[in-house]
Amino acid sequence: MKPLLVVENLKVHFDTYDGVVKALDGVTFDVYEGETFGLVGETGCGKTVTVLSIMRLLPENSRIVSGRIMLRGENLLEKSEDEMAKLRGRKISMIFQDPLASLNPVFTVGEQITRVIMIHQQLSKEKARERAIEAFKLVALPEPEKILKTYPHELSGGMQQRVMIAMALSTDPDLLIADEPTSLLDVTIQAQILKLLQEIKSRKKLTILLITHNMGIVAEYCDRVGVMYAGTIVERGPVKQILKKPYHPYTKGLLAAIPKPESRKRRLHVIEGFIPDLINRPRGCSFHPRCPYAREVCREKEPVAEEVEPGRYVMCHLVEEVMVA
Amino acid sequence: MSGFRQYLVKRIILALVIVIGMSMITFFLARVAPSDPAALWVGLHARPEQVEKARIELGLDKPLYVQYFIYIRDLISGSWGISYRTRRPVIEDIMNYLPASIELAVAGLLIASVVGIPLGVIAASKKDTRVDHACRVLGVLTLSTPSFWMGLTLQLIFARILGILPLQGRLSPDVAEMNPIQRITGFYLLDSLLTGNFIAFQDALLHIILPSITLAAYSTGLSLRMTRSTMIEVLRERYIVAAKAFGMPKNVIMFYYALKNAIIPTLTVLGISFAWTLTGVFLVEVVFNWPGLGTYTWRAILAVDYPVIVAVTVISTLIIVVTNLILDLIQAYLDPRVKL
Amino acid sequence: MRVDKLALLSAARSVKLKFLLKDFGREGRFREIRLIVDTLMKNPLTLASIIILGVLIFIAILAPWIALYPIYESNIEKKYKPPSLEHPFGTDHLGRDIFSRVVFGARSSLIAGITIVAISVAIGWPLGVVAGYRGGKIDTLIMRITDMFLAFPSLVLALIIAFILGPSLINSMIAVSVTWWPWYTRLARADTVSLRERAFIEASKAMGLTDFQIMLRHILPNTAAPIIVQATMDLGTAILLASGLGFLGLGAQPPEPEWGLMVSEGRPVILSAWWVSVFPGLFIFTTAAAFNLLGDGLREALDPRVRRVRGA
Repeated sequence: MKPLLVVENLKVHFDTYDGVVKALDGVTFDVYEGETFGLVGETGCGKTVTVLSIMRLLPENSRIVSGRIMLRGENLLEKSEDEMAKLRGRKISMIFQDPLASLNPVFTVGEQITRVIMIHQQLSKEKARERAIEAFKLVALPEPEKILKTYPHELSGGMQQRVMIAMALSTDPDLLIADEPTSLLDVTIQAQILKLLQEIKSRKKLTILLITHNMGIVAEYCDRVGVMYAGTIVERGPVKQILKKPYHPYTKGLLAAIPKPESRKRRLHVIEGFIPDLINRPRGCSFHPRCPYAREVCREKEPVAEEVEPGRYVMCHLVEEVMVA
Repeated sequence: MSGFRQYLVKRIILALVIVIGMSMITFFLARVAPSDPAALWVGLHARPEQVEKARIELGLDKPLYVQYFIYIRDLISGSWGISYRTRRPVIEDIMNYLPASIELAVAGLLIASVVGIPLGVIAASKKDTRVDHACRVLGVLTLSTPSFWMGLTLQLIFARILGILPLQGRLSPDVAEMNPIQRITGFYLLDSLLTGNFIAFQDALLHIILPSITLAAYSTGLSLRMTRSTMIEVLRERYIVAAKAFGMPKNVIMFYYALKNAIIPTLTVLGISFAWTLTGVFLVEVVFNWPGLGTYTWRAILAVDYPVIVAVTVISTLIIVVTNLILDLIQAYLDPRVKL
Repeated sequence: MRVDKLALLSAARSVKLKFLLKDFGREGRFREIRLIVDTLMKNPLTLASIIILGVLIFIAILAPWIALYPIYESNIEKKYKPPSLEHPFGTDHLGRDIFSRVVFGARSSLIAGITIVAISVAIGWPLGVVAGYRGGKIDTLIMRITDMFLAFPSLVLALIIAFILGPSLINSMIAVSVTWWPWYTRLARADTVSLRERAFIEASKAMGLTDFQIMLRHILPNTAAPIIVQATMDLGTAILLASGLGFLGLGAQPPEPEWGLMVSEGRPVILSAWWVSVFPGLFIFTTAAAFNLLGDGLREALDPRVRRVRGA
């Protein structure tokens, strides 16, 4: 399987009043064609910054310090703004967490989706409208013609998100980036939307990069996953394997923290400590202040990603030790 | 759209209440003022019996609320009293002077909007660049200049020193003699065009340049600043980032997408500009000797001319209330989020 | 929702109550002030305006010692003297030194501006908070009255009041204040309405704080920022209005050394003795500009979004 998207050693800094925030400190992962890759981690670990870097939509005070983002062999970081504008919405599409905030309140959803379609495919208004209706049918919106005339605030959260997905997929992109698309929706609607995405993926040739903080969603809907912590990917690989045998202490902690009704224990597992200060990052491994297995080497040296099994990468000194031994 | 009709009716009733309220306040306040209208009417050297006679004639012996009702009745029927100063019916004076003020105000508002609003958009789109800073400085300068001082300075430079523009008034005396403008609407620029009187048109145009620029200054700064902050707010919204993520090119976002979001607050800007333009009209008219309602009211105040004061108050309140009403209705119509 | 309330209650009770609520509302007060001052200092224009205003206040306070000549004494032989070393700004139609009069004029203008804005804010801000917080009939009543006053252009009502009470500086100040408080009411109300939905207000209510205490300790301070910005810029406009009334003869009366009045006194001789009008006008302009620039700078400094950006 060929990788569609390869992110290599991405480092992104933000200039703020309090200092330089080193948000991403060497992010590396790849996404294969046709799969669903999950990017999972706590709030603030850098998931959204990563995807905004891919889309080149970072705010003004940001700097991409180093790294490459390769889409089918082309480095996106070297493209001009005009070239990126042509790619966005066409080859790579993105949907956001808050669908109501992401839709313009003074235009009908029909006007918004037809404009996107007309921008990318030189179609007449009527043709674009037809494609819009097709797109709405694709996402299982009832009465598509009526919905075209509604305003975003008149739709429910689930329907708004479907509209966004329709807009994102109306141009048949290769890659869909979904930034926590269901975090603000009810649990039942969540499942609907994610199943919808799965369905669409199987029908069309689509690759999905799914951002979430919910390991349950990763377990259910993703093929491969990258676990992010404090701006780096500490573990990545096939979901089933990671779930069965997590290597990195953070991953272990995340999985252990999932409440299991059948468990006998009274207390919930907690990862002690807080996420680190991104301005003054801790020396060595960024997780060591919270790691129950931390040793001297963890406080001194930064770990490197090691391939512990084919396709499984972990950034941890303990693993290195195991490998060496 | 019966919801809209309801809203319309509600707003009209509210507008009426405001106007009536203001007329009441003005009327009663005017009546409790220290000067004696009867004495003013008859003049300085009148004898006491003449003052008494005038008092009865003017209806000033009746109780206050009766006076008010008489006043309202007269107002509605169009007889707004006689000016103590000019001895002419107030309504006649007002009809004479109002068009001049409206012409000036419209010219000022036009300049302010045409300069201020686009500059505000540009400043917002190029936020924190030199262009932005230059625009903001321009805005502050125009907001801080006292209009009377600016008027005087412009007169000094362009009328006296350079001599290229007229000093004051609406029309040169010789043009008024030789090519008088036939009165259709009272707006010199319009009337002269309509009657093919190009000499007068040119003259009127030259005369209106300095006063309208002076008048426009404050509103220009205001429009620029308000439009700029509105656009910046809009450009920060999530849906703008989302639009970029969908590949919308920057100029489409600026001039089509974001602009529609900004139009509604821009109407608010226009409303406020209009209110300040009406405020500035007084000072500008006085400086440039412009024969409009401002100069008329100023003289009325200095001469303690009751009927004029009350009448002008009612008129200006009416104008503002009506304008705000229209703007509100347009806003409500345009914004799909307003639950009508 | 219930679970959240219980959690909030127990959490708040176990930690020091007052501090928790204050932190909710203020987010570490002292750090904020430092941030604001730093941001202000970085902008050269804002810095310049602060300096100018400082000088102006200094001049106003120390006017009697800075002025060179008595300001009310006429010296007809010295009339219309151009600017010179003796009289830096020249003399007016009564031979009075313009520089000294301008210096004293700073007093009237600053006092006028501050009074007008102070009264407007004192009336408008609390009214707006009450209207926004209480809602319902009180809100409607307050807003109707506000709309009524907003319908008047301030100068017109100011003229009317000048007419009724007689022209003087104090009366013109009262007149303008009466028309200005509605703006602050509107501003405060809008801010309050968005604030009252916030969780910490609900928490305060759960603590048992009365409406009055909530409005006083939480809403009022949090609505301060836009009010301060508006008030600063309005100081400039207030001075413009006060001097405008002076120019029309409806504000300060001769022989007061009010800047607007001085400009009108110089009007008949603008060609020959330009200095009589130009210097006072220049001062009006500079003062108003300084306040406007400061207000602009404050707006940037107080905007919470501009200052801190963290990656997500």
